[in-house]
Amino acid sequence: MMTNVFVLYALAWGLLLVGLYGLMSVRTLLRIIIALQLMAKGGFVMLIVSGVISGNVVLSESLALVVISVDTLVMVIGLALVVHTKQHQQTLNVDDVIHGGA
Amino acid sequence: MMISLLFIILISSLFAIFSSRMLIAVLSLGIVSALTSMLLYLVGAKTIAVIELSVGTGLATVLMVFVITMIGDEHERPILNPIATLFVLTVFTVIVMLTIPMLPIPETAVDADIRTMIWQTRGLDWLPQIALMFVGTIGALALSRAHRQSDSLSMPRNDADITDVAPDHIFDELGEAA
Repeated sequence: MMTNVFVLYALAWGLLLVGLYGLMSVRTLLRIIIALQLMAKGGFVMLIVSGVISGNVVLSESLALVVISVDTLVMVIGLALVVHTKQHQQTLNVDDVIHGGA
Repeated sequence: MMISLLFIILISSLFAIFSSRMLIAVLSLGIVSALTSMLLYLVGAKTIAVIELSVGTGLATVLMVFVITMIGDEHERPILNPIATLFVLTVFTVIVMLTIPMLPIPETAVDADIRTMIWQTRGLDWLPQIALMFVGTIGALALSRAHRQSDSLSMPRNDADITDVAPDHIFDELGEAA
């Protein structure tokens, strides 16, 4: 059981940091959403880890459920913005979007 | 098994960031979700494993693939950012290596019912979630409506666009008049 918690804990930090690295390095809007998704996954895995450690997995599951639904909502709005940006500015690159299209 | 799953998930997440094709990145994200839900199931968080499998692997992947088919697959080779790489590797090494030995021993699981927890103990969580879902739906609809309005307001730029916009009967009437 302890090994499982270690693995889950390392996974949570790994997903958080890979997502953070993605946010720092990628310039495409869709890939930024992917990086945000990775970070959110890391967040709710950390919630489950805390639930397993404290012995109250059910409570952490209910909180993780909130995180998943809000994360999905953020993704839907982000995808709508991506489609909107692509059809208006013909590019998904953040630098091009800031400087007014490709 | 758990450790091999951990490595596969981390490699898939790196693929999701570093692959040049967007479709491969999205599918890698789906693999990350599926394997994460497998790990959660093994730990004992079965409800959230099922939800993550259906939402993270199913809904999110389908939506993203749909968006890629709408806007087209863009190729981008992410540049390796040396400062970000150093920061992430240092933080991962320091935090994971230093804090794993300090993790407390898991306590005995409390015998609780997930339905009671979700619907009664934390029942109030559903109100902001429902409000958020409405706000999200309205936001997505507003974005698509703004796009349609700007399309209808945009003027045709050449003869080909005028032919596309004008109904066919106008051309029939013009032919008869001639």
